[in-house]
Amino acid sequence: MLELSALGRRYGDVVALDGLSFAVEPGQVHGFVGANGAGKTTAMRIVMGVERADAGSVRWRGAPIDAAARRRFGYMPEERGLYPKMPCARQLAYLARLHGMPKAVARERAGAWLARFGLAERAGDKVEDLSLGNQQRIQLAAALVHEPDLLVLDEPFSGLDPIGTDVMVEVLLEQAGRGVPVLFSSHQLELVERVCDAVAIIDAGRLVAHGAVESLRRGDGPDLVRVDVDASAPSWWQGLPGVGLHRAEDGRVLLELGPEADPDAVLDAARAAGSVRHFGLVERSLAERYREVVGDPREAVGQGR
Amino acid sequence: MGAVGLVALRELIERGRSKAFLIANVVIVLAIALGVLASQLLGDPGPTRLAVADEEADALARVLEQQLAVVGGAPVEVLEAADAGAAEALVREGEADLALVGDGEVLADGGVPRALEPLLGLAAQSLALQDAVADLGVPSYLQPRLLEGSLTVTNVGEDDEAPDEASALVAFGAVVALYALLIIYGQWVAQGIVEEKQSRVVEVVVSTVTPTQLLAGKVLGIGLLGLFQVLLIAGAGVAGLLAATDVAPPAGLGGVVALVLAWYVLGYALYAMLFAATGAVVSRVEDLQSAATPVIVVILAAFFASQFALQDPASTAAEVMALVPLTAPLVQPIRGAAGLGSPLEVLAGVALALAALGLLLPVVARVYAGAVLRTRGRLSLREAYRSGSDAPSG
Ligand SMILES: Nc1ncnc2c1ncn2[C@@H]1O[C@H](COP(=O)(O)OP(=O)(O)O)[C@@H](O)[C@H]1O
Ligand SMILES: [Mg+2]
Repeated sequence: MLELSALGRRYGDVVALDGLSFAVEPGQVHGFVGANGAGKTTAMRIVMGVERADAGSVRWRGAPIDAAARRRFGYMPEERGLYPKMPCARQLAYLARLHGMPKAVARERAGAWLARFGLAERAGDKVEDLSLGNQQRIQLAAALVHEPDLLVLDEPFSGLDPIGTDVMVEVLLEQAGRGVPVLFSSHQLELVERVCDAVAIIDAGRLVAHGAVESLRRGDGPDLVRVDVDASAPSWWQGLPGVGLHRAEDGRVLLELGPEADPDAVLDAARAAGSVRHFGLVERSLAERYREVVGDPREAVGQGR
Repeated sequence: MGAVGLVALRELIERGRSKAFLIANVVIVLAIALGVLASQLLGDPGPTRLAVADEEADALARVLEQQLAVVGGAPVEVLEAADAGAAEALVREGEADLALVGDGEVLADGGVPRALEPLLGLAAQSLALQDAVADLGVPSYLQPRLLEGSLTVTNVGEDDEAPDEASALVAFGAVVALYALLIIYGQWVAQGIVEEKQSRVVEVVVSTVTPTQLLAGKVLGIGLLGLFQVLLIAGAGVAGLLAATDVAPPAGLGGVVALVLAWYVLGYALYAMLFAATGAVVSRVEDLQSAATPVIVVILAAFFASQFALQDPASTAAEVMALVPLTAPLVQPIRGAAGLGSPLEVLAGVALALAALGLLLPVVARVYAGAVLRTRGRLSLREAYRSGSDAPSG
């Protein structure tokens, strides 16, 4: 288990991290979302030991992280980069050996990852001679080649085409299947929702929501019920205990049902008002939840930095 | 293999395979071979041909001939001309190099060879002196004794022989090679550091090895490539020297080669540290040239200083420069080739260089740690040093 506890980091007057705490369980695909500048990269760099924390600590398997433990981590930095003039296979084998693999195993793993990504015949080519998409694949292979105990990926999906995205998802799930905790940041909330077991949402360096994707989506707000009724009285729901209007949608209404509301009573009232064409609980998306805790997700989606 | 070894091995393999390195080695061997060939072909310029117009000029030519024999210069060939006009014509036609036409007048096509000019003056003086002595009425059999100076040479140094031409050649070659290698491989270190920052690969690397390990491996790997080249130059140079049959290999050649190797290692370590610090604080290769200028100026200054030592290896200045860590790598081989540097001087120079390295290492390591992950813009050495104290351990 990876535990971030009360991490703090300031850059001059800018507070990048402000008491950030959450944990990533073994085998969990854990999303990390937040607007640009929320502090995701800073937190991940601190985990990887390439940035210093002003306060708080990171623990791995219950202990502070030492060099030997960190050598077993796999990392994809936000700003990608490899040795441009070094051939793919030699580069991957070199990185595997830096991470502590014996020479023969390192070579074998490098070759296996190249084959896995369909780049076996490019093994001897310089990285800079590969297409951008293939360079991304090598970068991913570089994070995986030493069979890491933990994966930390900073915006791994940014700049990927749909096929690249599928490959990335497949690899993340597969690694989690090996029992590896996978922490990755992303702006693509639909993707995070689809892939992740758990998500941490941060804003201005603080954790604003954290948990399993299911419970996060539901949140602790009121249930939403969408009702389409051919009613003569538009305010048929008024007066029902614990029921309020969330939004009127062109003949249909989205009602908020508080804890004291009784869904059966609402359905009865709708029937009494007219003929009911639709009555159902609305699943909230992660994006909606995100909008509630952070603000408009459109600000977070897209451009990156 | 440890992290430092792995990093060093990568530098060795990737740079060793580069075209730049292979071409440099071929060029070095070719240049030395050509140098040997050229010295064979052009080594003997032949006698200087003197056209003499009258007896007085003939006498001058004879004195010059004797003097040249004493100092070991190229011999002269005397061509007798009927008169001054004929002598001048010989020079114009290229049959003679110089014409002596009496009254101390010398005709040349172009100029008098530099080595000959002072000797011509001396020859004229000594002729005048002979005349004066004769005019005083000194009997002719006494005249030579009167003119004979007496000079006794006492060697007060510890070495048996004065430095000869070959050892000066060795010293010059060694210094030029050392200077070039220190600049080339020092800049490779700086460039390698910046390239890692610019390509951003450094963040992946530093998440597994410490900045200090990365720096040490890089300096070590590039230094080994340089050492290979020093050995190549020394090998080809010594072989060339032995092949040029007219130059006897100077005594103690092996010692000089050993000095060159030792001072390459120390000099490279020192200058690589300076280059590393300049490379660490910039983020783009384009900015490196200006950042590295101060270090290049220091090497250049050391190189020029070493040229003074080459002129006069026994001077006090040379003695001092042999001890100063930044000049010692270039000056000690010169003094060694001149048979001067005592074992004590070598030891003192090495000790001082190691001490300087001991001071420099932690400072540069800290600057590097503070700057290596700052992949944007340029920061000052002071800033880098300051943030190096609390840089993450890697
Ligand atoms: N090296 C740095 N120097 C100064 N400010 C920084 C530095 N790194 C990050 N910041 C600031 O810290 C905040 C968090 O940045 P970051 O962790 O990159 O956010 P995210 O990855 O969520 O977009 C931002 O305001 C950013 O400008
Ligand atoms: Mg970021």
